[in-house]
Amino acid sequence: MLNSFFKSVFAWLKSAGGITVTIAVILMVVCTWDRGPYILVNTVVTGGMLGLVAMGLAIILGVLNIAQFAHGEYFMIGGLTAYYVIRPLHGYLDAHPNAFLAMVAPFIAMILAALVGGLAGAVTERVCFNPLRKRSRANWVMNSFLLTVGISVILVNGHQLLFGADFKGITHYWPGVVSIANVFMSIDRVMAFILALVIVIGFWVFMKYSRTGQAIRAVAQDEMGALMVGIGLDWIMVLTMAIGCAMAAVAGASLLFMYPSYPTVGLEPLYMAWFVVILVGLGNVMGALIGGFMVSLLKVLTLEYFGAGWEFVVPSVIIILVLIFKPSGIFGSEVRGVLDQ
Amino acid sequence: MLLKIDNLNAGYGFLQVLRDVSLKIDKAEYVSLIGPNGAGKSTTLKTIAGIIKPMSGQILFDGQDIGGLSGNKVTRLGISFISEEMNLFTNMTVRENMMMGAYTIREKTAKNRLLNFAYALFPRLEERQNQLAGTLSGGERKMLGIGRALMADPKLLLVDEPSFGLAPQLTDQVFDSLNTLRKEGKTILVVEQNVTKALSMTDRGYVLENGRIDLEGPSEELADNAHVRKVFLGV
Repeated sequence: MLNSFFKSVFAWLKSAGGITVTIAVILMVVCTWDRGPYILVNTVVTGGMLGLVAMGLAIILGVLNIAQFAHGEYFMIGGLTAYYVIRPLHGYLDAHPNAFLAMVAPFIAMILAALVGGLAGAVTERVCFNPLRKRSRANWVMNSFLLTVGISVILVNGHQLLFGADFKGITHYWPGVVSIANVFMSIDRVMAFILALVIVIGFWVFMKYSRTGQAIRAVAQDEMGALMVGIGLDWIMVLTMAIGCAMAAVAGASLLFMYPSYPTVGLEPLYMAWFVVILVGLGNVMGALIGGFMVSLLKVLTLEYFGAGWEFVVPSVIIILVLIFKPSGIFGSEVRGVLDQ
Repeated sequence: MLLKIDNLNAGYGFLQVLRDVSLKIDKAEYVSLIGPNGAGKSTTLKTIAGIIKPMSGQILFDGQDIGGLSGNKVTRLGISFISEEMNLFTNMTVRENMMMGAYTIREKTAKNRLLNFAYALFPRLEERQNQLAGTLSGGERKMLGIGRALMADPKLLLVDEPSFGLAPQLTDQVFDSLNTLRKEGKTILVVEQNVTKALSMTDRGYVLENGRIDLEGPSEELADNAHVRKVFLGV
């Protein structure tokens, strides 16, 4: 039995996905040894968060078949919400670093960010995509994509109109550093990673074992079949969009100490998330998590070895290569509908 | 009267396919809807199942007007539709597909009872329960399609071309299983291109041509009908 397990692992290692993951792991180990542990730390922290954003995008693509180009704006909304929760409390928190509120306030900020992001996603689906879906399914992918461009413009300018164009950041959530295996890391980074882990595990359990999660997977695989077994499509669409946007929002909130919120802050997470989704295959949600780490690693290494300014070049080149040689993505696409329409 | 359709007009967008279609099915009846390609047989089933909205006319199920209700609501009311393409969840296992079929059933004991019933009808499905639905053969897919539809404990089964694309041996198997369901008291409306088979197994039949019901009556009589024999059986 152990033998067959190793056999299947070995077979996977020879596939496109397996080779890429192996190369990534080797690169990470070599470069960490070469330049220092912050390579590993940065990759893991931003990778977890990019994974969250990319998973949100993947699930929206897989279930609703929407090429969401406003996804970064929900990242922005998350950061914005967290900012306005923490900012008023900052004075108090700095003065009383050991108060209960100091421990708990960042969590409140992140939970609220998730709720606001989820709500924004639900409203977007109801107001923009549901009417389009009822009207016509022709050219769905193109039409919905154009819609998201408009949504992006509205959200970005809405932010500027209501909250101004300045950078809204915080210096930290929790003050201080922690030392793990002789490496010093800020508590914020550690918590960001733990949070990503918790969310991903919760999400996986939800999707695999809960009735609603299975319904979402069913809709992604065959919409008509889902309808035939009694699943209400409208409700699933709203819920999935809310979940996807909430994940982006949490990522935005938990990285507020690294990425201050301003109207167009969502652009970079958007591009990176799309890189991930194209790399791993459209609609592949768990693959998007692994892809998040890989693209993050790519970015960290590019920054390290090529310098600032090249961050988008190397990932873009990789994406072009993927699209030429393995357009279904390194882990394979799980989306039937998008490519068939 | 379990299902009563009066003057149904339906189609796709601007294209009208069904013209003033009326039919009725009583509880525990086994009825066939036959006709040439493009007559509108699948459209009829899809309109009943809630996948297409009617343009006009009435569909009464158990006395309730279900015209225009969406597919999931129709399933909840007790009508299970088995499409020609089956619409299986290809990345889920056979067992997962079956359990998804029972989405509208709340109690675990009921789900298990329905699963055992379906497995008894199609032992092959139980053998392959951990296999991905996308890797099944054509006959197995049909069995899974029917099995999954049964998991919703339907009062009425709408079956769209069950023998399509199947080898004769498997066709017999599928029709045998429908017969068994019929003996269990289920009401079945089957759309079939295999006219001989359809008329030999069912009680009554409707002949649909160009979106209109041309003939109706007991299957035996239809099989002897001159028009039917000329058009469908080439006699």
